[in-house]
Amino acid sequence: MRKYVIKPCGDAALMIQFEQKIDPVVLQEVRQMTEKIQNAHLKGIIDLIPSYAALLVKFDPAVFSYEMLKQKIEVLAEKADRKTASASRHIDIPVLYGKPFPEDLEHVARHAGLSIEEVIRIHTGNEYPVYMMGFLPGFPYLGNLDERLHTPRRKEPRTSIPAGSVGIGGAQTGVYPLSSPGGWHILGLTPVKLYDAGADDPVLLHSGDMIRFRSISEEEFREIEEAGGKLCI
Amino acid sequence: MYITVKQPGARTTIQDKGRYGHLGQGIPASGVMDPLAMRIANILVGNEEDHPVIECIGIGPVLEFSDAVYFAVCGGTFNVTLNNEPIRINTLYRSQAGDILKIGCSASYTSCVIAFAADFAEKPVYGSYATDLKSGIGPLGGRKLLINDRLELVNPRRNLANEEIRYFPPYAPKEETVKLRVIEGPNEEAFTEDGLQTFYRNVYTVSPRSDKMGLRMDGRKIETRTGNDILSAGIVTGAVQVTPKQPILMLKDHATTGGYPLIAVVIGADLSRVSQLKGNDKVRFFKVTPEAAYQARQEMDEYLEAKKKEFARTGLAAWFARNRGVKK
Repeated sequence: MRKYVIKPCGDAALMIQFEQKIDPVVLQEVRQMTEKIQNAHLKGIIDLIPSYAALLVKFDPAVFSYEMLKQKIEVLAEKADRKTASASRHIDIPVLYGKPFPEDLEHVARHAGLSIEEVIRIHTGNEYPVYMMGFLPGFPYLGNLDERLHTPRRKEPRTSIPAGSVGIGGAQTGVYPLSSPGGWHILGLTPVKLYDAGADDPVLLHSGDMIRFRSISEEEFREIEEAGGKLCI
Repeated sequence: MYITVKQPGARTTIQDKGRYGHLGQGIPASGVMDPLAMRIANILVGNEEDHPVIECIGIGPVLEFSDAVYFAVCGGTFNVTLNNEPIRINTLYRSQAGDILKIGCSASYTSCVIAFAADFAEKPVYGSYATDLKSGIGPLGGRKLLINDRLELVNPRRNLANEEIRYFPPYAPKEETVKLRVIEGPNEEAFTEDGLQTFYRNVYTVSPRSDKMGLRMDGRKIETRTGNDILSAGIVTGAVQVTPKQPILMLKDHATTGGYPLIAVVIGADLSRVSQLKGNDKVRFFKVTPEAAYQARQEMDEYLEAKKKEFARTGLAAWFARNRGVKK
């Protein structure tokens, strides 16, 4: 039985959707599909964007029509699955909670019917797998957010959120690697640079990493910031 | 040879069709707002269609040429002068040493490009000349052009055939309500039947609060079945995301992924029109099939291909082509 549907996403991309939930099994399905398409080395595939439960395939419409590529992908999907294996890195991200939008932390606490201290305790308590990278260069989408902290996005996105903001949007939590508009509730700020435009490998985190947040003081925040926002991994 | 930036303009950058191969790390494609303008500018000066160009948004730059080179300015309605004499958009010109090219003003957010029959000495970054100002990726360290910058050009191409016929008609004037053809979005099921009808039967107005990431659309609220949160997934230029407040039409600086449902995606053949929209413009969305979109794109490709052949014609064929024109 097929576990996915293919839909057009304009005339130069298509979307392969899996069961719409944040789930390690679905993540594995997305990864397998991504690898099958990558390994086929089809001329005319321009880029792939894997996400929690979907894979966006950007293609050259001079090479494929939507129907042609859809059929090709269905054939590829039938091929035997290959195991994917990658060892996870475990990374601690230091966070100064309550900055720079204390009202957001209060909102999340109120929405959950918890105290601010409990929200911080719960948020620092879990280990979060990096499910996908996207939205901004080096932005990790993390799974395993405690259900008590699930909070719908803001009604109107903010036009600017500073780099290092750690936030919650719906069932997701993550860190803004650079200043950007965004609709998430911001719990705190990390001094660690998740994205460095000058570097050979500008992106700190990779899909598959395991993240833990650690509550820090303003003093420790300044120390790490003055040390260049580096992290020893 | 080089080009000296006498005045940088509001947002003048080096661009190409966009940076691909890194979207999965969150590195955005960026690239030109108006892909058609890039293609015709490059065809006019005899380049590959996706050769890097200078893109101007809003207020254009003033540039000085150190030497002779073919160039063309293509895209939206800007007042363009060469040594203070007006020159035409979508037309081939050749500069002389010391010439001053001035790209004037346009309503905010509309764009034009300048193509040169030469290569930039700047190197591509992660495989592309696209500049993404927000993440600072691209030639010149990922920034826009600044006053007194000297852009070095190498390998200037000389002796283009049929100089005098190298032009394209200017874009048709904007309709009072701009019609945009779309394919249904991958999250159409997130909306009620009423919500979809609202979207397709009403006129939306481009909010002046729009930017190069997206055009915010003011108009009737679109009813959802399941709310406006979806699991974040990849998005493309031309996609229409629906936030609880309004639809947002994604432009070239959009992020690689988003968490609002996609109700529709503008077809490739209409993206040039999208790039010329500005605050308070009115738009209406019309649904077409993927086949119709493919057809529209092919027609555009064939038109450009025919022009390319016409420009490249030499000898007797060129003579006949020219004289056929004269007899009319």
